[in-house]
Amino acid sequence: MGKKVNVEYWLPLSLFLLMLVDGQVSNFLRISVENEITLNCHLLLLIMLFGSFQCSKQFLVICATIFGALYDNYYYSIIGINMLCLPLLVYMIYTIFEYIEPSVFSLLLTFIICVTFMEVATLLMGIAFKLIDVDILYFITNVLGPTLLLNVTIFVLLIYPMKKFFLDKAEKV
Amino acid sequence: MKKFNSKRIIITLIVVIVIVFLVSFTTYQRNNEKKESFLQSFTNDIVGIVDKGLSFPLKAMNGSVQSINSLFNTYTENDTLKKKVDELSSLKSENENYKKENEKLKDQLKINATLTNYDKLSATVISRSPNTWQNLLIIDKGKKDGIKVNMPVMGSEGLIGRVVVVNELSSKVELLTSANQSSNHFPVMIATQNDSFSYGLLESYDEKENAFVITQLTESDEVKAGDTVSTSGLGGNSPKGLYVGKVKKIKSDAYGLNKEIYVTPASSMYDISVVTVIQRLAGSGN
Repeated sequence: MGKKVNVEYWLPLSLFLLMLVDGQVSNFLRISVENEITLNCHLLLLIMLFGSFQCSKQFLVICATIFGALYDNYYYSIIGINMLCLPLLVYMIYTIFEYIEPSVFSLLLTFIICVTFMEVATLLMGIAFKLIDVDILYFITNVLGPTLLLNVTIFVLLIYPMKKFFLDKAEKV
Repeated sequence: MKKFNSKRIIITLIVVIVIVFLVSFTTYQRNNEKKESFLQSFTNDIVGIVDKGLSFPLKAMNGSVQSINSLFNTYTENDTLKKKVDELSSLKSENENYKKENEKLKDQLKINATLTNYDKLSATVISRSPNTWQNLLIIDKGKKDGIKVNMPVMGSEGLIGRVVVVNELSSKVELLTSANQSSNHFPVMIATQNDSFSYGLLESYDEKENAFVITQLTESDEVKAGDTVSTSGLGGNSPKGLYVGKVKKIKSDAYGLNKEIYVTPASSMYDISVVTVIQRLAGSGN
C-alpha cells in the first residue's frame, strides 16, 4: 500500500516533465531530419500506458485532464483539444486492459493505438474547429507513418525495463 | 440499464458542450483580444521556466553535432567567404556614406521616423509546439521586455513569423508556415529588375514547394525568378524592408486571372534557436 501512495507523487511529476521532454525531443528530431518528415515523440503516452497498472482510473483521468489543459495552454494557447483527448485515451487504456491480459505484444499494439489516436484525434479536432488546414495524404505519409515508427522503436527499446518496473511491481502490490 | 445509458449520454453531452465552449472561447481570445487571462499567463511562465532548463542539454548536443558538421565544410566555405569579405568592406563604406546622407536629408525634411525605422530585440527560442500545422515557437522574452502582439519576428536571415500571444516572461511566435486560417498576412513588395516595385500579400505557405505564396499583386508582369522580396510596411504592424526571400517561380492561379508568386524563404523555418523581434517606430506612438 505504501508504494501506491508513492506513485501518486512521482507519476504526475514525471508526466509533467515528459510532456516538456516530448516537445524538446520532437523539435530536436525535426532539426536533425531537416523538416522532411515529422517525428513526434510520445513518451508521455508510454508512461501513461504503464502508469495505468499502478494507480486508480479516477486518479489518472484527473491527471490527464490537468496535463492536457497545461499542454494546450503552453503550446497553443487554445485550451480543450488535448484536455479532451488525453483523458479519453486513459479511459480507453483502462477499458482495453479490462479484457486483455497485458503482455509485451498486447502492450505494443495498445501503444500503437494510443499514438494513432492522439495524432488523429488532435488533427480532427483542429479541423473541426477550423484551426488548421490539412492535406490528409501528407499527414499519413510524412507525419503519422514516421511518428509510429519512431514510437515503436522507443517502445521496443524501453519495454523490458518498463515492464519490470511497472508490471512486476503491480503484481506484488 | 436504461437509466445507466441516459446518464452516460448526459455526461457526454455536457463534456462536448464544455469542450466546444472552451476551444471557441480560447481561440477567440487568442485571435481577437490579444491577451491571456492572468492564470493562463502565469502557468505559461512557470512551465516556460522549467522547459528552458530542460532545453539546455539538447541544445548543447545539437550545437556539438552542428560544429562537427561545419568542420567538414570549413575549407570550401573559407574560400567563398574570403571573396565575399573583400566585396563587403567596400559595400560597408558605401553604406555608411548613404546612411549619413540619409540622416542629413531627413533632418532637412524634419522627418523623425519613416517606415524603415525599427527597434530590434533578440530572444532565445525555448521550445516549439510538437504539431505540424500549428507552428508556434515559445520565446523567452515577454511583456516585461516590451514585446507586443503582432510584432514581426526575424530568424537568422529573414522574416519568419509574428508574435501572437504575450505573457509576462515569455511569448508565442506563429511561424509563417502554419496553416492558420484566421491570422493576418504580411504586406510585401517585390523589387523587380527595372527598379519598379510590385506590392502584394504574403498569403500562405506551400508545404510541397517549401515556399511562401504571394497573391493580390499590384503588378505581376515584370516579376522574374530571383527578384528579392521584402516587407512593404503598408499594413501598420511591420516596418519597411524586412527581408523575406527570393522569388522562386511565377504561376497563374486556378482561374488563370491572377498570378501567384512562390518565394523561397531566406531563413530556415525549422532550425531556429535565436530570433529577433522587430518593433516598428513609425506610428507606434514611441
